[in-house]
Amino acid sequence: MGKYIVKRILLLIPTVLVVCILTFAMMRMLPGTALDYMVKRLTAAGQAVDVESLRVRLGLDQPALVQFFTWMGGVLRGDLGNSLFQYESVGEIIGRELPVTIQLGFMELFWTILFAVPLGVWCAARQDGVPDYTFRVFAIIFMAVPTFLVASIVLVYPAAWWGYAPNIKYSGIFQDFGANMRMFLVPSVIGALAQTGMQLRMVRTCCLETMRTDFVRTAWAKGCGEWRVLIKHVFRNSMIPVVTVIGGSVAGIFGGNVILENLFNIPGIGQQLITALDQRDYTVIQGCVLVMAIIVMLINLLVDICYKWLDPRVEID
Amino acid sequence: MSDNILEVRRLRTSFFTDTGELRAVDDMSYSVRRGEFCAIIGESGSGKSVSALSVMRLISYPPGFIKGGEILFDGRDLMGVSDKEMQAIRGSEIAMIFQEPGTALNPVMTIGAQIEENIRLHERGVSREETARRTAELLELVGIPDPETRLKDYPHQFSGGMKQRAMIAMAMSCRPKLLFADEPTTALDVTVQAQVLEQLNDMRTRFGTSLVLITHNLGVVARYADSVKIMYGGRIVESGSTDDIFIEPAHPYTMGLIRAVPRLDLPRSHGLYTIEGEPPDMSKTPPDCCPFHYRCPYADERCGKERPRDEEVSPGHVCACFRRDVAKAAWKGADA
Repeated sequence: MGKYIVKRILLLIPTVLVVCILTFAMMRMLPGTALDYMVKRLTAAGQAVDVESLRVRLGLDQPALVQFFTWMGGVLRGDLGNSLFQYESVGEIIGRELPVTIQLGFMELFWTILFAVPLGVWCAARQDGVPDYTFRVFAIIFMAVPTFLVASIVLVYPAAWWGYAPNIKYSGIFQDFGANMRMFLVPSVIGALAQTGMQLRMVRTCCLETMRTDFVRTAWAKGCGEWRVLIKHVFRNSMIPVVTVIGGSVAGIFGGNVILENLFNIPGIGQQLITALDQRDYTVIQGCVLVMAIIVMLINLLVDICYKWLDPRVEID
Repeated sequence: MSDNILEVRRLRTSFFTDTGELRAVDDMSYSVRRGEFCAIIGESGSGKSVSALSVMRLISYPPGFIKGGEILFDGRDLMGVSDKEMQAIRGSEIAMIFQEPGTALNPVMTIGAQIEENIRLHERGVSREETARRTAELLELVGIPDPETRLKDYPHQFSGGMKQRAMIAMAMSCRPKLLFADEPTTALDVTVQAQVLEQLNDMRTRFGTSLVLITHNLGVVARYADSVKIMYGGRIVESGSTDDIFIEPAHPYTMGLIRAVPRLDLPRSHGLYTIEGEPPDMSKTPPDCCPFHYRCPYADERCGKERPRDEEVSPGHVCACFRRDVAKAAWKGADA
């Protein structure tokens, strides 16, 4: 097991390298450079711009390959470079904003699992009953209605009717836990809705499939009660495909929920990335993509380890 | 206390499908004596498995439903007991072994844990060590070498024959009074089949369990069974002692089955006998007829209009057929 994990982590290196090259290349291939944006903004502000000296200052006068190796060299020393637009290093930006996004993501995941798994099992156990139909209908609705719509409704109507608005003043989770939770509760629940709908249906389908298997019939024939059959025999066997889907969606969650971050004023990395993309802030984008790629790959590794733990038939080496 | 461990009277189990009601078990009556080795023979789809599952009340609704009948097990009517009581009976007093050992064991639980579960479900206050010891003992009894180590294995680490042995150990773990074995050797290699059956028979005699073996293997039946029930179209068309059935078959279907067994003493040119036609579709066959009349070489008008009643051919040998005499004469003629 330990050997396997080490091997997988070593395999991360070439993958990360490819991600870096691709990000770097794609950013340079986009029409419009950081320089263009900067010149435009400065001119609009009525300042005289010396384009050439600005180009040198940003290091854009170097050939692309030199720029890449300069940046990679920094990365290897643990320095992600400085933002071209903000007076901050990329490391600082990520360190400040990524944890916020991860917190939102984890809370969404928490709600998703908390509701989707037990409700999905219940729906399967009482297939075609009233709760089953009810939850399935809601699952479809949650999946169909876009997040921005739900978020807008939640922001507008309670405020108009009862004068209530969710807290949109950010405080860190370690500074003021209560205020932090009050801020994250609503957006994380909204973000979890679509996921919950999808996972609930997934859990339900997988459970139903497992309930029809021979070994579940064996469990009944042994004299297991319904709960025992569901928990000991159905549940664990039906979690294998569910973990795959949840693992896949985690990557999306940590990619930053731009809409929710925007609407609820959450200072996460998603919003930062959009701005950086707009400005062609090369270092910020490269740094963010690099860190996120590593996180996503580590999560995939975690999912694979989960398989082994869930299903003894999986040969991990 | 009655001689019979199990008495099934006029059992009817149906499945309700899109094409209508499928009468899988249609007015079936039989009994199993204490300690008996009883075989139920029939083609696929004749309702053998459903009848066993009905006795264990494992027919799930929908689509299945036990429409009527009495199931007297050890003097108790199982149709009348509560779900809780039924749970207590399953696995402890009536156990069941299934056809596919490959899929009948939970892939994410160790063999030991699955057998231990059966014991702990039915015997309160048995310590963990005691259960583990008994599990190892059971595995040893069914011929699994090095049981203390092997009970920590998962099903995928066992071969097909070993899985079925483990299933036997599990089914016998609470010394049930009655055991249903639903085609326990069908999915196994021929060489392993005999061993597994021998094991099953051995465990049965050791624990004094009555066994109902569901099979379509006549050779196995002739060798081990005390009595035989022939099933066709959801009912028992003939039943009797093994000798009665094999030497003096009374129902044309039984005769067909016996003639269809490949024989090594006949020349190759003899060819294999087959019963023409297909098993009846029980959602289309009307209840008031002999379900075999579509394929029966001796059938007349009455067979398609009326349902034959069980008649005693000789003491303990019962057959439901209008054309018994004609069939008998033909059978005797072919024999001579």
